[in-house]
Amino acid sequence: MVNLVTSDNESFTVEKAVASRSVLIKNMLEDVGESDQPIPLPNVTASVLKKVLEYCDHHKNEPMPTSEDLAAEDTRKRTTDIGEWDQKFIQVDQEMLFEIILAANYLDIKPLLDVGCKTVANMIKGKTPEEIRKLFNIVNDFTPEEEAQIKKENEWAEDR
Amino acid sequence: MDAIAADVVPQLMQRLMHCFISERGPVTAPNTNRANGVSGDDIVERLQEKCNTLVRARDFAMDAINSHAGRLLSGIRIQINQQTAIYRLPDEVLAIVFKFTVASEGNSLQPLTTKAPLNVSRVSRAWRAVALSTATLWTTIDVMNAPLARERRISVL
Repeated sequence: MVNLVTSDNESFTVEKAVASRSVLIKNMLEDVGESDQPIPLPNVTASVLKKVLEYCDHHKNEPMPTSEDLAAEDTRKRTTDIGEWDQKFIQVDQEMLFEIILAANYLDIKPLLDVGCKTVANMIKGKTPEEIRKLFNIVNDFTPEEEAQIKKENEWAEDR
Repeated sequence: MDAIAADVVPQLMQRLMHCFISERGPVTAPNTNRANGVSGDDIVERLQEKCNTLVRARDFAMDAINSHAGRLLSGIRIQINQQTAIYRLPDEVLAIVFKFTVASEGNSLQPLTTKAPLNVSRVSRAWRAVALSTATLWTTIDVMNAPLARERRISVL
């Protein structure tokens, strides 16, 4: 078993197979060898780690993506398809969604990072810039000169 | 507020008019055919020139104020955006999101206003910077958007 300590000082004791879905933790465990020492995760809160571990537990028996898989991914066409369980898992509010993505990035859990990024991509898909701004509470911060430049670049898009 | 305007605006206009007059150079000597020195036509011409200079100064001042205010507003809005949840994602993660958006089913059939990466590149300055610096988003050149495609091609070369 592995003991993980979150930024808000909460401890989680999990199976090694679950914790090792994180490449960061897997490498740490390999570096320190057998040890009862807790692993601090200063960038992850308890509420987020709980969700991340739920994902890792569900996928613990699946093969880890190899470096060849990751290299091949860049050359083949990416899709935004998400598995049924993953879709239900990632049905969270925006705040938690971004926290999960940040945690997956920090803990180096590529499949979870992809699920999070695909979810955001699906939210953006087919929307105008104004609709995207509204969705994420972003304000238009272009200067008038930049707006004019963008309008010029996209003048063909206006009627299509 | 009126007092500030009364203090600042005349000074600004005066300085701008002075600049435009200096830029234009010396005015030709007035026609002194008439006994009293300056003809009516010359007076009208001079007043017309003064009007033109004033209009130029006004237009210049308005453009400069709009441009300056636009930059200030942009700076404040950048700070507002930095407080949003999605801005916590680092650039490399946002780039992954954009790649998935480009690859999503039906994206190629979208009208240009909703097609990735064009739509994401028009959301905000930060998103535009990430979109334009992610070369793999722009590997398919849309002939309907020739100006932007040309710009990206030049910067890649």
